[in-house]
Amino acid sequence: MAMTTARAVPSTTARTLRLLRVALVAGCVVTGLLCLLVFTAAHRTVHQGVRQSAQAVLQVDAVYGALVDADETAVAGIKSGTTRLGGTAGRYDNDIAAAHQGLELVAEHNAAGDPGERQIELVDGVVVSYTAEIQQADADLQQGDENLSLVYLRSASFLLHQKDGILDDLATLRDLEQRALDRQRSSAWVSGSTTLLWLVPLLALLTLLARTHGLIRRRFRRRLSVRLVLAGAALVVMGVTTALSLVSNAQFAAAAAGPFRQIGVEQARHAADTDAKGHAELAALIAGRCPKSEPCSAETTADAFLPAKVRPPATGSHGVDVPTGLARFTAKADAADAASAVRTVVIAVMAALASALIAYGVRPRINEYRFGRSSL
Amino acid sequence: MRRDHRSLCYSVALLLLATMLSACGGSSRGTLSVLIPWTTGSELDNFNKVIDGFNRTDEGRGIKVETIRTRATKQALEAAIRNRRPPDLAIVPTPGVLRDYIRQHEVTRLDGILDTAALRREYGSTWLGFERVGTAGLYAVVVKTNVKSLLWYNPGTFHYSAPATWSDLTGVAGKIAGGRATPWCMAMSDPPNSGWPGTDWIEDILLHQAGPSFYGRLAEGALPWTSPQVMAAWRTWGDLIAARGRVYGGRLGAMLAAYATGDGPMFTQPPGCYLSHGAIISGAPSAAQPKPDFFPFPSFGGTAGQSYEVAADLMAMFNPSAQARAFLRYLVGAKAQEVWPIAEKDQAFTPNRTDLRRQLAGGVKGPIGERVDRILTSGASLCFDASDWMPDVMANAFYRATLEYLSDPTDSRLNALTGQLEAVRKSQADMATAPTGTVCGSATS
Repeated sequence: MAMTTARAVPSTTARTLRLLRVALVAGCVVTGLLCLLVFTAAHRTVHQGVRQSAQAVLQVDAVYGALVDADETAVAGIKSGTTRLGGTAGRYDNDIAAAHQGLELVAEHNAAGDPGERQIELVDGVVVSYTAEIQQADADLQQGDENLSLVYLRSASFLLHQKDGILDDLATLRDLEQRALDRQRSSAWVSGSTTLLWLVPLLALLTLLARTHGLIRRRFRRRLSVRLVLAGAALVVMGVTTALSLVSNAQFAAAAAGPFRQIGVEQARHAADTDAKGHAELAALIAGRCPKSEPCSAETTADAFLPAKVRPPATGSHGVDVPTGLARFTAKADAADAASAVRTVVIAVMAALASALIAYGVRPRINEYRFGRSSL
Repeated sequence: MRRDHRSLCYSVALLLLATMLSACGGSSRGTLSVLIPWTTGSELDNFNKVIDGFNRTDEGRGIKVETIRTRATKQALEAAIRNRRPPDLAIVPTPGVLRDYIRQHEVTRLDGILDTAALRREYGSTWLGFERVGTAGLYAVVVKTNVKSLLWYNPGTFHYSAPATWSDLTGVAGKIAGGRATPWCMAMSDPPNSGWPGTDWIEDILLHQAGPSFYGRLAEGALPWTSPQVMAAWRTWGDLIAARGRVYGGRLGAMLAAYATGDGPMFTQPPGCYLSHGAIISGAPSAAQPKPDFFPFPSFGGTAGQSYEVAADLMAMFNPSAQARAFLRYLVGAKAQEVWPIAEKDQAFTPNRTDLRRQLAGGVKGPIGERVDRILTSGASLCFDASDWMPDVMANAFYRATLEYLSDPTDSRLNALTGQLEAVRKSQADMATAPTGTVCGSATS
C-alpha cells in the first residue's frame, strides 16, 4: 500500500506580494526618474527661453533703438551746429555706449550659436566704423567745413540704413535669436506631449498600488494599510509637482505671446518714429547745404536718395509702453522660471519616500509567510 | 564553436553593411567657412555657382561651404581674428590690409599648397606678383578682376569720337559744357570708404601722365606726395572738376552721390551727364536703352605705351584646413575662373590665360567684354590699384584727401592735403614691406 506524504503547498500569495513589492519599488524609481527628466528638461527649456533667448531678442531691440536714436541725435546736432556745445553730444555718447553694452549682453545671452556670434561680431565691427564717420563729421564741423561734415554724416547714416547695413544686420541677428526662442517654445519638452511619458507610468503605478492594497485587504482582512496609502499620496504629490512644469510652460508661452511681443512692437514703433524724424532732418540739412549757384542733383536731395527709413511695425499699437511691457514680461518670466530647485527635490524625495513606504508597507505581510503559512 | 563562428561572421557582415551605408549616404567631408563681400544679387549667385562647381569635383564633393556675407569684410575679419575664430578663407578688402594680416602671422602662405610653377604658366609673373601682394610669398589668389582705366558713355547720347588724348577729352567735355549740359557723372559715396572713386581718378591721371614707374613708387610708398608728378596729377583732376557745371549735381552732389547708382543720370532723358570713369558702369540702364560703351583712359602724349589700372578680389587663407586647401586648388583652375566672367560678361574678368584664350576664341564675352579681355592679353602695362596696394592707413588718408580736394579744389588746399598725406607716408615708411617693382607689370609677362 502506497503511503502518501502530505507536503505543504508553497504560498502563491507570498510570491505575488514579493513580485508586487519589486514591481512597485521599481515603478517608483522609474516613474520618479521620468518625472525628474521631464520636469528638469521642461524647466531648462523655459529657463533658457526666458533668461537667454528672450533676453537676447530684447537686447537686440534695445541696440537697434539706441543706434537709431544716436543717428537722429547726431543729425540734429550737426544740423544745429551744436554737436559738442549743446546737450545732444551726451545723448549720442550714451546711445553709443548703450549700443556697445547691449551687444555685449546679446553675446552673453546668445542662443543662436555660431551664426549668432558671427553676426554680433559683424555688427560690433561696423558700429565702430559708424562712430568713426560721425566723429569725422563732428570734427569737420568744428573746423568749419560744413560740406565735408555733411558727407561723413550721410555716409554714417548710410552705414546704418543701407541694405545689409547695421540695422539690417541687427534684424538678421534678431531673427536668429527669435528663431532660437521659437525652437524652445515649440520644444517637445514644453509642448505638453511629454506629459504621457510620466503620467502613464504614474497612473499604472497608482493602479498597481491600489490593486496591491486591495489584495492585502482581501487576504489579510486589513481595511487600511497606512504605509501604502501614504505611498500613494507621495506619488500623487510627485505627479502634481511634475505637472507644475505644464503651468510654467503655459506661463512661458503667455509671456512670449503677450508682453514680449508687445515690447517688440512698441520698440519697433519708437525706432521708426525716431528714424523718420532723423530722416527729415537729414533731408533738410542736405537741401540747405546745396549751394543755390550750383544746386545738387535731384537724386541727391530726393527722398529715395536718402538713407532708407526704418519701417514701422505692421501690427497695431497695444497701448503698452516699453517699461510697462518689460515689467509685465519680467513678472511672467520670473513666475515661469520660479522654484525649480525646490520642486526637483520634492519629486526626488516623494519618489524615494513612496519606494520606502511600499517596501516597508508590504514587508509585514510577506513576513507572515516566513513560517510556512500555507496557501489559502 | 560553430555557432560562435557564425555569429562572428554575421557581426562582421553587419559592420561592413553599416559602413557602406554611411559611406553611400552622402557623408559630410567637413565644413568650409568663407567670408565674402557679396551679400545679394548676381555677385552672390555667381559665387554660389563657383561653390557648386567645387562641390561637383572629387575634392569638393561632400564639403559644406558656409558663406559669411557682409560688405564690411574688413570689420568682420578684424572682429573674427580678435576673437580667434577666423573664417577658413576670406576675400580680403585690399592687398594693403592683407599685408597687415601677413605681418601679424594670421594668413597662411600658399606656396606649398598651390603649384606656383603652374600658376606662373596660367597667370604670368605680373599677376603672380599681384597675388604676392608685394611680399616674398604667395598669400592670395584672384577670384575675379576688372580694368579700371576706362571711360564710359551712352552711345545713344554721346556723339563724339572717342578721345585719344587728354586734351581731346577735355575738349569734348568743354563742348558738352558749352551746350549747357554736364559732362561728368561722379559719385564718391561708398561707406565706409567714401572717396575711393576719386583716388582712382588721381591714380589713372598719374599713371598716364607720369608712367607706371612713378605710379608704382607712389603705391609702394617710395614717391613723396609732394613730388611734382603727384602734384600734377592732383591739379589735372582739379582742372577737370573745378569749373562750375562740369560735374553732375555740383561738387557737393558728387561727394554725396552713391557710387552704386552714380552713373544712372547718363541714361535719363535728357542725360544728366555724359561720361564716367571706372571699371564698370553703375546704375545699369534698362534693356530698351543702348548698351554703354567705353574708350580707354586717354594718353597725355609722349611715347609711353598704353597702361591700365586693374583691381581684383583676392582670396586669402586664414585657417589652412584640408577643405580650404581643396577650395583654393579648385579656384585657381580654368574651370572655376571661367564661371564668373561668363556669367557677368561686361563686369567680371579673369587673368587666367587658358580662359582668356578660350573666351576670345569662342566669342562668349560679347563686344564689351571681349575688348577688356584683349586689354588683359595685350602687351600693355597693368598696374594694381595704388590705393588698394597702400597700407590701410595711407589708403584711408588718400580717400579722405580726394573728398577734401573735391570740396575745395584750390592750390592752397592741395598743398595742405599733400603735406598731410606725406606725413602719413613717412609715418608708414617703417611698415612698408613691399619690394619695388611689383605694382606694375606687362600683361603678357
